[in-house]
Amino acid sequence: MYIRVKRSKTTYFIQCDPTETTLDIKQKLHTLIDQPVNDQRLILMNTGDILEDSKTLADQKVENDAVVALTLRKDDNEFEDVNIVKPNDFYQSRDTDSGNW
Amino acid sequence: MGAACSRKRDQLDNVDGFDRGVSGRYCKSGSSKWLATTFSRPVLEIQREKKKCPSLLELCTHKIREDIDNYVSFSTLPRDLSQQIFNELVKSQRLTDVSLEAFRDCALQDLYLGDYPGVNENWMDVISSQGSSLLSLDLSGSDVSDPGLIYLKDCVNLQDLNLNYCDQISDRGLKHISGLSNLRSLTFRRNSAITAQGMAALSGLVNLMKLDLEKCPGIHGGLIHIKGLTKLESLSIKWCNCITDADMKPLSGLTNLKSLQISCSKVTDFGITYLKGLQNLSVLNLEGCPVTASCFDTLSVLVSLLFLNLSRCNLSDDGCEKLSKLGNLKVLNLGFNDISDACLIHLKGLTNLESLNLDSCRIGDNGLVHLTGLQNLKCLELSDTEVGSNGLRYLSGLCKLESINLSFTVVSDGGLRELSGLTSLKSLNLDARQITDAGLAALTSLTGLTHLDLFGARITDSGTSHLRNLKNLRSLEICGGGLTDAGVKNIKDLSSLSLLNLSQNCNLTDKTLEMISGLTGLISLNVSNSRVTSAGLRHLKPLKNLRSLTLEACKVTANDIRRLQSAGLPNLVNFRPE
Amino acid sequence: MKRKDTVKLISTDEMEFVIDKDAAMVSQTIRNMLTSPGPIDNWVFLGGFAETELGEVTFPEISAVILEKICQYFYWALQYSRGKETEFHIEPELTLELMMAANYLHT
Repeated sequence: MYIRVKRSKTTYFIQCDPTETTLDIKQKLHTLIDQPVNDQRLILMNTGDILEDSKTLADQKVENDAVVALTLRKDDNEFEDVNIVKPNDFYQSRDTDSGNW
Repeated sequence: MGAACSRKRDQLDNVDGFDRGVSGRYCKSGSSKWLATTFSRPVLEIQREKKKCPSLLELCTHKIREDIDNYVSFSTLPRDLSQQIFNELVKSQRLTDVSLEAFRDCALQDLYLGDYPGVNENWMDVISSQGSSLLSLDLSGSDVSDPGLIYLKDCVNLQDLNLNYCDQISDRGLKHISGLSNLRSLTFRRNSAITAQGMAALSGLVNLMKLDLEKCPGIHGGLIHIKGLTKLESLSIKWCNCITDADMKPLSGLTNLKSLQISCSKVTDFGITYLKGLQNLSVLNLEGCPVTASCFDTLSVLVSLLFLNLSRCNLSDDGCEKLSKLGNLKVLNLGFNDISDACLIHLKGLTNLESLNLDSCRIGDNGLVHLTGLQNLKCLELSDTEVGSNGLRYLSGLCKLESINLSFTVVSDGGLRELSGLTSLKSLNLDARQITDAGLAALTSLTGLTHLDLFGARITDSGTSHLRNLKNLRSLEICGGGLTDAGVKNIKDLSSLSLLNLSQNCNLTDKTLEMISGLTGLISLNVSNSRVTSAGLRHLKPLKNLRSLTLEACKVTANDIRRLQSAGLPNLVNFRPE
Repeated sequence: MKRKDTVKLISTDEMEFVIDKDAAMVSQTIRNMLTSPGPIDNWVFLGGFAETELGEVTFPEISAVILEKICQYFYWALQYSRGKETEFHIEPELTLELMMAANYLHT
């Protein structure tokens, strides 16, 4: 399976296994973003649950193609808020054509 | 994304089209079979490799197909994509006159609507909106009539137009296409309304390379109008029984002709003399024409001639010595003529021959001696002749032979030894009552065989043990009545089989179906006239490729088969009882 | 997962998608680009997209919504080839754009 880890304008597609723990995922992210695992927080988007390091993905109902938000520890030691940039409104140019596509 | 999106449009196989079915789907006419089947039997190919991952493009196309009613227009798509969607809708029969509207002004190049249900006049407006982009149009079998063809005037770049079996089109319709001077291929099969007068419209189609007027009974006298179409490479007027010697005269200047089919016309030796200038002619089909050996004088000057069909003509041994002049021939069909062994002596020098058909001729063992030098022979048809076991020794040195038909000959078990060294053989027809188990023992070395026809041979269970090594068999017929379930045991592991006919073996039971359930490549299965019952049908569920199932005179009803079909044989399209 | 085994795809609206190279190579177009020899620091211009530096590709004509869907397809295709034959969901309103992009990427 894979999950989509999102922060700001970036989405990381991470291949993983339901038996892997949150910490395993953070270690994979570490190699990509150079942030120590302790400075990462992962939040399952469809429930808002913060994922716990020792638990497996399966335990926390993280399924294939799930979207997980990544937040990082700020200078004040607190974690930043979830910040995922939404893509430009894709339909802007075609909103008059309602119903049909 | 513009140009980056554009891929080369699928190239039509346009070589000279003796076996091109535009979209490869329809087969209303089988009369060019002699060419198509000369070397290899049309084999039902099966896809048996692992399911390929569908591309995203395919997934999108399928998705659009499912939601087609929601789309108003594809005209903003790059042409090759709207073309792909169009083709998918046609393939899946989801295109209707309503969904067609979304393709207006899409600049499509190919509209293959041959035999597509519901095509009529109302479709022509959207078709013509493709304008100068349209290159190929297939409307065969449609209800489009004369006024519908007016719409094609805008499609000035049209190269291929197929109007086969459009029985509502007449001379008036032809007039509307007379300006399409870019046409390269025009086919009009089976049209009884077209007359010589209407054919005047063809005289302006100066780029025409292929013209097919098969089964147009009213065109006598009209070929005068194609006299100037000097680019013509392929002309078929077969099954036009109105065609006479006089119609050959206008063809005499068409020196680019490579293929000419005038079978089943009234053309005689005299008419053939008009063809002597056709120095590029390589295919000539005279099947069923009242020609005699005298025509060989003309044919011998046709230096390019490679394929000659003279079956069902008026040939006799008289004058056959002139056959020896046709030394370039690769394919010669002399079937169904009143010729004897005395004629075969004149084939001695035709050493380029790769295919020879002597079906139903008056030939026997002594004639075959003259074939021993034909070392390039791949295909030999001796069905319904007097050839027996003694003649086969003359074939044992023809080591390129790939196909022999010995059905309804008097060949018996003892002679088959002579074939055992012909290891190039792929197809062998031994449909004859006197062939038995003993004969099969001589065939075990022929491991390249893909087709074996033992339809009427008296094969029993013990004989089938000789088939076990023929692992390449794709088609097998054993219908002599002597087989029981025990014999099927030797067949069940022939995993290449796609066609299996075990009908007329009245002792076969459901056990047979159970045993062949592993032959998942089967496309066609026939176990008629057996003790198979509806209870046995469940064993056929793994045969996902099955398209044809025949169980006549068994304890099986049409409904039983329909249930099997809906329970998991989606490919099953033909079945009996029905 | 190492950084060098990934590639970053950037949409016209500057959203970034970091995916495994294996997945990216499902696209014939991207595969050709990643495997074609040549100086990696140069701008390589191939029919509309630019590879600005190692492992980073910008698609000036593909929006983020479509590019993300394409990445999802890449992973779906990898799973499919490993025998996990699930259905790939396509939102009907995305289909035409997605089709154009798929054609462009030979996917």
